[in-house]
Amino acid sequence: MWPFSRPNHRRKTLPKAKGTRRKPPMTDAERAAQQLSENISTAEQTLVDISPVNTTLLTDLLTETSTLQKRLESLAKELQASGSVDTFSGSVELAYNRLKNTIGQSPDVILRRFFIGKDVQVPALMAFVDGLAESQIVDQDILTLSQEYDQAYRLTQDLSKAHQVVHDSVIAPGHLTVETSWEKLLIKLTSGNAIIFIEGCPSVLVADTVKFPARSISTPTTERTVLGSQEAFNEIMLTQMNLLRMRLKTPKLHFDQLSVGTLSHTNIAIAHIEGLTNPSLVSAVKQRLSVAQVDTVQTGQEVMPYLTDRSSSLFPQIRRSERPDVVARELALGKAAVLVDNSPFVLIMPNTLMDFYQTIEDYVLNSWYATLERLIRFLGLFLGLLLPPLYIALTSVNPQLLPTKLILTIAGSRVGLPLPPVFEVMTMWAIIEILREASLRLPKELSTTLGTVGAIVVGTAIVKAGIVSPLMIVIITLTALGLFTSPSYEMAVPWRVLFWLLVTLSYFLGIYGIILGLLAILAHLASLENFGVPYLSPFGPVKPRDLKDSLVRFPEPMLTKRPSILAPLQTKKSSNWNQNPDPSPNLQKTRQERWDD
Amino acid sequence: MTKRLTRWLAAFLTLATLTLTLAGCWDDIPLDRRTLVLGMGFYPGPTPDMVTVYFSFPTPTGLTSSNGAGSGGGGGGSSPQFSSVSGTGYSLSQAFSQAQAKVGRDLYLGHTVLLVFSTKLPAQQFKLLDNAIDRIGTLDKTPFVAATSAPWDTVVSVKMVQEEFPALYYEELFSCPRCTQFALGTRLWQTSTRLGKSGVDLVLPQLSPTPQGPKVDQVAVYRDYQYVGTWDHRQTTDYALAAGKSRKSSLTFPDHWHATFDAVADKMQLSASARDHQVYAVVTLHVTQTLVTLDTTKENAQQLSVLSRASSQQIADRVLKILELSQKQNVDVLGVGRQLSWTNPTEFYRFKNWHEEYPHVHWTVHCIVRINKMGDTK
Repeated sequence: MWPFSRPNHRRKTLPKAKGTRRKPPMTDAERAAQQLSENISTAEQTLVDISPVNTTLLTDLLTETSTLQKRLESLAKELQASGSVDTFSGSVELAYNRLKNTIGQSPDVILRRFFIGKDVQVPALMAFVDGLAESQIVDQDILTLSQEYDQAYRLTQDLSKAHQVVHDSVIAPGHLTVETSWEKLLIKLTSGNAIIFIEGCPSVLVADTVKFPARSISTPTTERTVLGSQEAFNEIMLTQMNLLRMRLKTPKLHFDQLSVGTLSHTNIAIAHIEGLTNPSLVSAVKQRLSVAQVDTVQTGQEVMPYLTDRSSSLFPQIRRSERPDVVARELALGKAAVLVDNSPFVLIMPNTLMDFYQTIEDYVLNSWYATLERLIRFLGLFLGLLLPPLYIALTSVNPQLLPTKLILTIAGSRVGLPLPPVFEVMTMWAIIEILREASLRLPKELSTTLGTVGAIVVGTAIVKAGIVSPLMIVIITLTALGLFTSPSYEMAVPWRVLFWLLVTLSYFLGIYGIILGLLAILAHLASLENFGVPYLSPFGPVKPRDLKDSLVRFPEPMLTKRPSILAPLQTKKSSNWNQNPDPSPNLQKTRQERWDD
Repeated sequence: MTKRLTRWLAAFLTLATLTLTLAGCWDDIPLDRRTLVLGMGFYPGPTPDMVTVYFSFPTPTGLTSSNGAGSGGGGGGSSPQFSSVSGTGYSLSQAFSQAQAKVGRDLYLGHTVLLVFSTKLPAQQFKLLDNAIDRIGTLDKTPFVAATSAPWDTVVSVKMVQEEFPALYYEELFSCPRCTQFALGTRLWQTSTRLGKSGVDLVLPQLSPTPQGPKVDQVAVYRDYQYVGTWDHRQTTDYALAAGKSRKSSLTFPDHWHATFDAVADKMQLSASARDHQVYAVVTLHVTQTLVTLDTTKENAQQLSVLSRASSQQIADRVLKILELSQKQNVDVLGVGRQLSWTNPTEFYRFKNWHEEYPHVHWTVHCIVRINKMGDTK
């Protein structure tokens, strides 16, 4: 770490003298001067510490000192000109120096001086980040047009309003805004905008030239479906909005944008349908996000604790989806969604436990299939969660509960095994977790092979070696498969953790322990709420209307109302499903009539 | 650590400690360290007041063999499928302890499926054993109970082809009433309801090992805890008809077109009443018969009517005969006294000793026969 960062730290740790008067606030120039002085003294101290003196370090130190001096000079001039270091003074030269000595040292930040106008030339400066800004817009729509502008005298008539002329008559980008604050300008600059300073004009134009390097729209990888849409979100929020607009063309679809992250300044948009989504829900989401104080938001996970009522819970309360059709459907039901720039996953809220066991495929195919699939998912969950604990309980604690023939089979499979059942389960589960983790990290082509070969080879070898019984292989395989039947990846995690709890309880307390554990899990689930929506709804509290789309799914025509638990402003989503406007056409009769003609 | 967290932690630790200590989990023995006893045999000991108890269990070889086509092997062979240990003592617990000392693993009685009592067991011993069995915590009330006059080694080493473990063979035999000739299976809880109760006596299926295999076609009858005798095959057939436990008995009528029937007693109704110190018992049998052979090509209504009457008469006669035998031996096999105590308790409790009264019970047997025609044989 460069030693210049030390003084701040030291200053913070210094004890405050008692009874000292509060000093009047320092001006920016005083603060900068003090910082320079401290930096120089730190540099001196560093030089003293270095023995023998490192010439490279010394060169670096001199360069830094020089840069700092220049920065301080430009700040002082800016302060002299505009009275504030945060407001642009109108001097292109000062702006250039300021940018050059700060962010402009980075090679990707381009500072371009140019003149607006052919005959009358007004100095200007444009700054943009190479790669984040669209070079075609920068070159053709800003630079070329500015340099070829033949009525530049209009700018000189009133330089304070020169930006208006440039905005209206010179440059071509579609989205232009005006800014004066350096702090905001720098954020805009690093977001991919081009900022244009005009000599004599205190207002700075911000041209939307954002062109992030983006993935094309690909197929969903975490929520695959056979018959549903094959589009997934990418990392660009604008694309996410477009994909949602394609599906919900109503003007009532709103995106309320805000920025979170003191370092990342990540754009976040709250999507909702006005007149449908409960305004209290939208307001609560906005409020919670507005108080979020985090330095960076990269995945959306950083804001999750602000959006959940009990962030310490194992169970996910915010659902993440990379499918536009899923998000659009949930929005149409009366939920809110949070789009996070740089994350292809959109956060949906509020959710119940059942929401994590529903897929878009449930609504693509008929209700019989959907119901069967949902039941199988829960069967898989219970098998996965309970099979090893039951095995341990029935072989270690409660063998009397097994039928005689079954216990003889189990006892036969365990003859000569060195490990008790609980360690057998732990060994096998550790192997499964290692295989899972390895296959997740490896390239796709390798992971499938490794997973299959690993499972077969390890499974066979471990049975041959007499460490675990063949029955255990069956149980662990069913467990591993069962715990991942949840369509939502994040829902598999809590069950994998709770699996260990149940295994431990079953080892000590047998069936009684499993029942205790299940009751504790149930009690915890019943206590969870997200934005006022009970997690176990529609089962607890019972909402008969919502039961139609829970463990079983009724045919679509019968789902005429939105979930009552969301309290949407419009309850009905369809009302005339059983009103056939026209009887079925009599095809035979029409054909006969044509023949008769 | 905040006060609240400390409180939560204290509550959790208390709860966890209480749960772990009160649940008795430290006594748990995993399956690997248990010897699964499938059958128990109770025999008289070397002295009249001692008892010898045999515990039969599968060996590791028996457990691992996929289908140990059972030559049995309690004693013989290099790798026996099952083994037995025995213990002798003045009580069941003493005998159990002695047997336990002979094996390195916990003798686990939770999966015992068969209890066999020797017919030579004195009544007093039988009574003590009955009480002791009732107190075995791990043993539920579902094992089948049988009697035998053969030694234990003979019972468990009998040649079998259907099951590798003898106890499991008998368990399967008794638990499928429609698979055998007589539904003689008696579970421990059923035995307990008859033993020591006034008004009903115990009837147990008797296991008879033969060189050809196990045979269960006789019953041992008891008066209270005292073994009285064994009824032969024909008497057992008649008893099964009387008790509604006959499933595949065969009846032949050489005088009536050489007709042969498979008889199934569907239902038996017993009613008892007392008038003037005389007990009257009425047995009503509903028998379904399947016509198996007939010397005419096709039966007609008249033939069926004649056969129905004849078979009804024959069954009634046979049932009456076996009931009279039970009166001679003074064993209330159908539980007339119990029936009377349910329907007319005042009259029943007027009799000081039911076994003095039972030989004088007046029987009436009705038999209603339904004949399935040929072709209905299942």
